Amino acid sequence: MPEMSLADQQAALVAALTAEGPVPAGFDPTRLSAAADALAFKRARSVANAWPSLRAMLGGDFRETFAAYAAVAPLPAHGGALADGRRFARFIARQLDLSDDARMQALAIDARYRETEAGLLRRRVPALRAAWLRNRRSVVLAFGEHRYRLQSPLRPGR
Amino acid sequence: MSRHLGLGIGWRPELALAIEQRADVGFIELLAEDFWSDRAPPVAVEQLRSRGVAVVVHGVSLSLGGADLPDRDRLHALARLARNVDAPLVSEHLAFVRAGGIESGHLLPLPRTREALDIVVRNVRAAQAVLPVPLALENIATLFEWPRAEMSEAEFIAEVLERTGALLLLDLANLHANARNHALDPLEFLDRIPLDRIAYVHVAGGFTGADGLYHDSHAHAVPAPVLGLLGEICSRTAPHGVLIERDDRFPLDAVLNAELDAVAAAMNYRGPRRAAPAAMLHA
Repeated sequence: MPEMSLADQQAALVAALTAEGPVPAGFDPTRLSAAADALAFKRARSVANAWPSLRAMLGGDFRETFAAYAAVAPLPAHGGALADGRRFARFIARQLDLSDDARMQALAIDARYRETEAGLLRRRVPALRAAWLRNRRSVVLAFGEHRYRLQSPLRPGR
Repeated sequence: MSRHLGLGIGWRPELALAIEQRADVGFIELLAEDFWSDRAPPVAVEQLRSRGVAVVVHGVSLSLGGADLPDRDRLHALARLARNVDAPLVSEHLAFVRAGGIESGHLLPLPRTREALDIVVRNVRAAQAVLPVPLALENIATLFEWPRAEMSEAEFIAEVLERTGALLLLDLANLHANARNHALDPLEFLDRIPLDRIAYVHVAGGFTGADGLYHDSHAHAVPAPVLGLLGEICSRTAPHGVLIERDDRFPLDAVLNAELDAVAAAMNYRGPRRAAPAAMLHA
């Protein structure tokens, strides 16, 4: 086997641990698989802790839904579990209606952070963002740390 | 060569109250990545600082063992945070966390080769050039090893410290985990590291998984063998500080206090070494 640079060897190892890349030569496949499981568990657990609204919304489906997301979405470089959870929320929103609590949490993040390819970056100037809360029939505006709620005059039901 | 720190605990919002109520805590660690985009550290941390508690900045994402030089932005953020909290030290890991554009989300081990050693030394020096305070390097826990090691972990660490002048953050939980998972003698490791370079010591909990491996979880009680290693190191030297790390499944205050008591007893610790305020002397 030709000599690989340290950068290439490390990249192959990270791919094996996070993206189902092949086991690099000389490594114990059982141990790498245990380490890959530990990494996946840690990632899911961190997002569940940082996004209690998503954990509550998904309940027992959290792990499975998160695994489906993690299989297609690498970990963001910036913002840790908060950023990972923000992307996870978008992933879920393509298939399900987010709960009002999840919308509120996403709103709070969006008002303070910019979402980029690399993850979440803190905004220098707070942004104005809005979320529609269906069950509470209201629109919430967020500006930095501030919140304003506009209640719909229409009553739910008939 | 290093400042006295005493009994320590990793600061987490969930533990803030328990830490505040514990008068003998001499130092805490602040997880750098959680706070480096904030304008100021949490109020509870500022209150501890006003009480004389030292704050060590602890990073997990610098990737000092990566093939690339450490990221300038992360390094400057660490330096800024260290200045903001007047940290006596910054600590980071002998590990890499990303490669090929992918974040692993965890601390991964290095090949113990001369080539990797040279790269770590280069990266540590680059970090030291930016950080305003001494850097302490931590030994990590790993479930797997690289093939074709050219030296033992203790030899690798000792040489990095020797060539960079960095201090050691000796993690006994990680040492225990590696000893268990790779059938090594932890005492042999302690024989070979430079004890006079220890800035402080980490202890933490873990569990044995269904796979038979010991997992360094920071979510369980500190097990007896780790406390045993703490007793061993305290019989060989007097560490400047010993810190408990707890990141998940937070225990009741009474349970946490019992763990802190056990650590204090092992290090024969009788409270923080600092001048009492005048009002207290007359009380």
